[in-house]
Order: sequence, then C-alpha cells, then structure tokens
Amino acid sequence: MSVYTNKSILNAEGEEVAVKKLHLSYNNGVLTVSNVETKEDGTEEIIPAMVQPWKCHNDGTRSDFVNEQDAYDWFETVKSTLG
Amino acid sequence: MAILKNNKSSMQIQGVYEDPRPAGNRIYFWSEGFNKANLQFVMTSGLSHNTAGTNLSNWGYPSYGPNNDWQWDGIILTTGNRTHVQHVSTSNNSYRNNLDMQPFMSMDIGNPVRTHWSWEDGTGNVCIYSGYNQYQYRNANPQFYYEKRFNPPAELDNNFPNQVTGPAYYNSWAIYRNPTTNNLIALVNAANQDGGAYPNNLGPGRVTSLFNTSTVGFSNSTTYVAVIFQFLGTDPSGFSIWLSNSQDNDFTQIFYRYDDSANTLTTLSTINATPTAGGSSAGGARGTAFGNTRPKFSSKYFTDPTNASNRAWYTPYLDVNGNYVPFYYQWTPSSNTFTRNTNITVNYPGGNTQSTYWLPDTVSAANSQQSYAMQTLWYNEVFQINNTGTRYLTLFQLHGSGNAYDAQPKMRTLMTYSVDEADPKILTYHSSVIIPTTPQNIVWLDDYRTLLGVIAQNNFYIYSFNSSTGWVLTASLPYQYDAVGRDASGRIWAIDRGPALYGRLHIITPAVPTTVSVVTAQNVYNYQSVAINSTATVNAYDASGNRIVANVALRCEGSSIRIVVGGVELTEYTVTTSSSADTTVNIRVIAAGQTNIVASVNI
Repeated sequence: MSVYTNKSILNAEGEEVAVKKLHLSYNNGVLTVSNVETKEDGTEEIIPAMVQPWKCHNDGTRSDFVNEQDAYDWFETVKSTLG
Repeated sequence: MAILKNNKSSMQIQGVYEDPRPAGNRIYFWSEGFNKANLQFVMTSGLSHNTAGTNLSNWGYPSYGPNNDWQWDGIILTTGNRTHVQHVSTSNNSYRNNLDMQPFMSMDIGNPVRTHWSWEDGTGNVCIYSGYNQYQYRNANPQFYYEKRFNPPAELDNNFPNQVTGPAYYNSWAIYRNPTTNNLIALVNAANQDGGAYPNNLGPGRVTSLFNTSTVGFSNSTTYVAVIFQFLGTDPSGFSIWLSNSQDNDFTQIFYRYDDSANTLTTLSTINATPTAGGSSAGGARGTAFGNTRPKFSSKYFTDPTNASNRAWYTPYLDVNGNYVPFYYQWTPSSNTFTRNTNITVNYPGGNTQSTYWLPDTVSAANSQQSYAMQTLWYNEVFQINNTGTRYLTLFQLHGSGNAYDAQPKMRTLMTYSVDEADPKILTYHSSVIIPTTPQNIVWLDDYRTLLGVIAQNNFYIYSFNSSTGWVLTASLPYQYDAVGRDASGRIWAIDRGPALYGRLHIITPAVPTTVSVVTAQNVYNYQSVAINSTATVNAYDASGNRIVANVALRCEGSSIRIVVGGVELTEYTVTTSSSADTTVNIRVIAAGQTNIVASVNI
C-alpha cells in the first residue's frame, strides 16, 4: 500500500509558495518517502528520498513502527522539517 | 610574513592552486607554475582548467569590486584548510558579508572540507577532483565546478582537464569519499536563494561516477529550512552521518545517515525536547534578549573519556538566562544512537559569571529567515596542547560585517574553558581574550587547533594557546585578507586585494618571522661629543610567538648611530638570530640626533 501527502514550501515570510507532492510506502516495517516528479509526458516518477526503519522520539530514542498507519502518522508529525 | 606576488591580471582564476597529489611538485599562483618546495618560478609551466586550454574564466573570481557579490574575492585552493571572507560590505545586515562555513562544516578531523582530491581507482588511473564553491546566494550561474584529470602526467600543467559544472544556484562543499561506492560526499546548498533565507536547503549530496561519467547527483530529499548541517563522520558501514542543528532554537538537533548508493536519508535520532535544569544550566529556551536566531556549529568529535566506544562533542547552547552551558553529546557508532547531556556545570572564579567576560550578540538583526542569516554564528571547538592532556573548549562569536562588535568588547571575546578529565560535563573557566576588532571568521593554522588566525576587517590576528594564559596574540598583520589557507607542508598563504586590485599573495608560515624586535640597551643616550658604545638585542618570532632563526637585515636611518662589527662602523648589517637566546649586536652613538634602526627579513 502507499499514500500521497503534500508538503508546503514556504518563503521567508512564511507564505506558501509551492506544494511538494510526496509518496509514502510501507513494507516490512520500513517507511519509504519519495519525491514525486512529473515528467514532460505527464507521467509521474517516484524517487526514493528517505528510508525509515523506525520512528524517532524527541528525547533521542526510537521505536519500531506499529503498523503502516503508524508510519504515515509519524511522518506527518515530522514532515515540516523536510522538504 | 612576506609578500610574494602582486597579480595584475583580471583573469578569473584562483590565486593559489596546490597540486593535491602527494608527489606533486607544483603550486600555481594565478595559473603560473612554481616549484612547490622552493617556490622557484617554472617558466614552462601554466595551468589550464578547461579542455584544450580554452576559457580560463569561471574558476574563482579574484577581481574585486561591488559587482562580485556572489563570489569570493581571492581564492586559495590548497590541500589544507582554508577560510574566505567577503569584504565588499561592512553593513550590519547584508547578505554581502555572509560567512564562509568551511571551517565548521566537518566535525571529523579525518575528513575536513576539501577543494582538492587525488586517488587511484585500482586500475592505475589517477583522478584529480578540484571543486571550488563560489560564493553563495541567488546567482543563477552554476555555483560550483569540478574537474577531472585522468592519468595526469608528472605535472598537472602538461594536460587539460574536463570541467564539469553543477546545477544553477547549487553550492557544494566536498568532504568525504566513500571507499565502497566511490561517491564523493558533499554538503549541498540546493536551492535558489533569491529573496529567501541563507543558508537554505542544506543537505548531504553526492558526486557520482567520478571515473566514468560526469554525472552530478544530489539527494533531493531535503529542503531543510533554518538548520545548519555538519558532517559528523562515518559509521561502520562507511556511510556518512550528519548533524542538523536548528537556527531557530538552541535545542533541536536531528541526526541522519546518508546512503549515498541509494541517495536516501534515514533519520537516526531527533532530539528536540526543551532542556530541563541541571548542573549550572537553567535549561529552557533562551529568548531573543540573548541574541536572535543563530547558526550554531558543534566542535570536532573526540573519544568519549567515559566510554572509549563512544564519540563525543560539544554543541553550543544558551539557557533561558542566556548562559553558555553547551550540550555534551555522545554517539555510539555501532548502533548510531545519540545521547544529549544537558546537565552541564560551568564554573567561574570568585563571584564572576559569564557576563563578566562575554555577552551574546544583541546588535545584529540577522535571523534565520533572512538572506544574511549566515552573517553571524556561534561555534565552539575543542583542542589539546600537542593533542594530549587537558582538553579545552573555546566559544567563538563571529560577525561578517567587520565592525558590528567594535563597540562591544564582550561580544568579541573568546571564552575558553578547561574540561574536567573525569567528567566532561564539568567545565571551568580558563581564560578569555578580547579580539581587538570584530572577528569576521577564523582559520586554524595548525593541526592541533592551538594556533588560530582571526580574520578581521583590516587586520589578521594570530593567536597561540598556552595552558597558563590561554589565547595570546602573537602577531597582527595589517592587511584585509580575503582568504587564508594552509598547504600540505603547513605553509600559510593569504591573499588580499593588493595595489592592482587583482589580488596580492602573502606567505605567513611558521618558518617566516611575523615579528622582528630590535631593542637597544638604553632608550636614550646622552651624547656629549664622545662616542658611546652600546648594544642592541635582535630577535625574530614566528606566528606562535616562538623565537626563531632568521637573517635580519639592519639598516641605520640617521647619522647618530652605527652598527659596529669588528671595530668597523656600518650603516647596514645582516645578523642571524637565534632560536634560543637574544642575539646581540654592537652599536655606537657617534652624534646627536635620532636614528631609526630598520629591520627587514629576506625570505
């Protein structure tokens, strides 16, 4: 399974200047986050950018993803730090 | 210090280019070849940076002037460390004097930022990589280049390289070559900065297929805003580990592992909890009363004295009261886990506090959302004298304007602490020194980081560290250096604008005196028509303040004093100084009036 999510790209004033489309997939406990790039013919290319076998907590510890949804939920909480 | 060359050509080419190969015997000054060992000019030598020798431009910009906002003025490409500084603007809030991050980008002593590479790929080919990162920010022209020379002959100037440019707007600092993938790993600034913050979109990237194609690829996962990246080192797999540190607060650090084979990142650890009080730290988040948002650079890592399997370092942090109580970080490479220690104790003598000596920058408006966000920074660094014994930690506060702290001595003070040998979470004030004018950037002048160069607007200050008094000013060179760097043999090179405005080359090497003193036995002689025999002591000192052997030419300018050698009165005489004792010359007062004894050194 996989899902898509969007990430706002902000300028220096905090205004949204672009939206970046990301592709999330989950397999065997590993979350893969990919950039989605649209080619000239309109087809989409999925380019892996982050391979994440665990979720990180703010005290520096980490734990396994409970399931696919848990992985996607975790990414939503941290995607503001990513492009 | 000696001035070696005035460049009088507007060729856009680097001022110093050292052959990076261990056996390489050339160093090039504005493309002209010199013998690297003895600096003799080689008349048949001339270096090209482009195939078939065409188009010498676009490889560094030594031309000076307000139109060169985007490039460093004066380029030094040596195999040692180097720092560049922009002098085109003294404004407090201007992107035009953002700071060179090269001195701080790598926390791994074994893998510093490099402009030069040479290696064999196992089949006998030798590839020379020589990338240089031009200045940052919003220039649509490609911001970096690299070149390849396959099977280079004895001297680089005997053939031509392929030159490859990076994407528009991109900037890159190469740090590490993965021996497994052969990729060159770089910190990449991968965005058009036009109108936005700088630095922005920093992240690890790669240059691939060095021996086969000219492909340049980058990790495209990162458009991190308001963070600083540092290369932390490598884990047992050989992949690179990176520290991202927020500019917007002092307590958000994230660690990444970069798989340069797949061009993907893995978040290893996120540590962004607000610190609690502990030790002498009050914890919490400092407000802007103690400075605006700020790039913060951690120290080099070292073996954790509490666990030899760990690596450790200090990350700058100011608590809610604005006190410097750095984090002590521990890294276990085998598991890539990280522990942040916030319960740090910083001791000061008597009733003194940090504010007795040092204040955070509150005069700069720079913040993370502005194009001049890299105009100021905090950086702390560890070092040991001769790489052994007590570890010291020095805190730097730098500003690119060149004058922002001139009226604020406490903002231009270097603070140094000694680290408790048993407990690295205990720091004790050791010493402090006020830089005479606003420190713009620094360059380490020895491998142990106990000889420090501070680049300021109109001076270059050299400090040497000792365990008794800390950082001691050993030389002030009254030049506006655009770049200072070291070559493979430890010689120190510098470039300033020079009289022709196209760059002037200086050598500041430990074997070359930075200071010569001539002191007569008496300050005043009462001449009453009878000759007075006396003496003068002559000493030459290197950049560290050590007495060295040098041939010092003395010349009497005036008619009242002569140097006496073998009973003969001379107006000029060359004396060889000693490295262990004062050198004495005989002088004779032969008339009334003032005479200057002028000393000079021939290199």
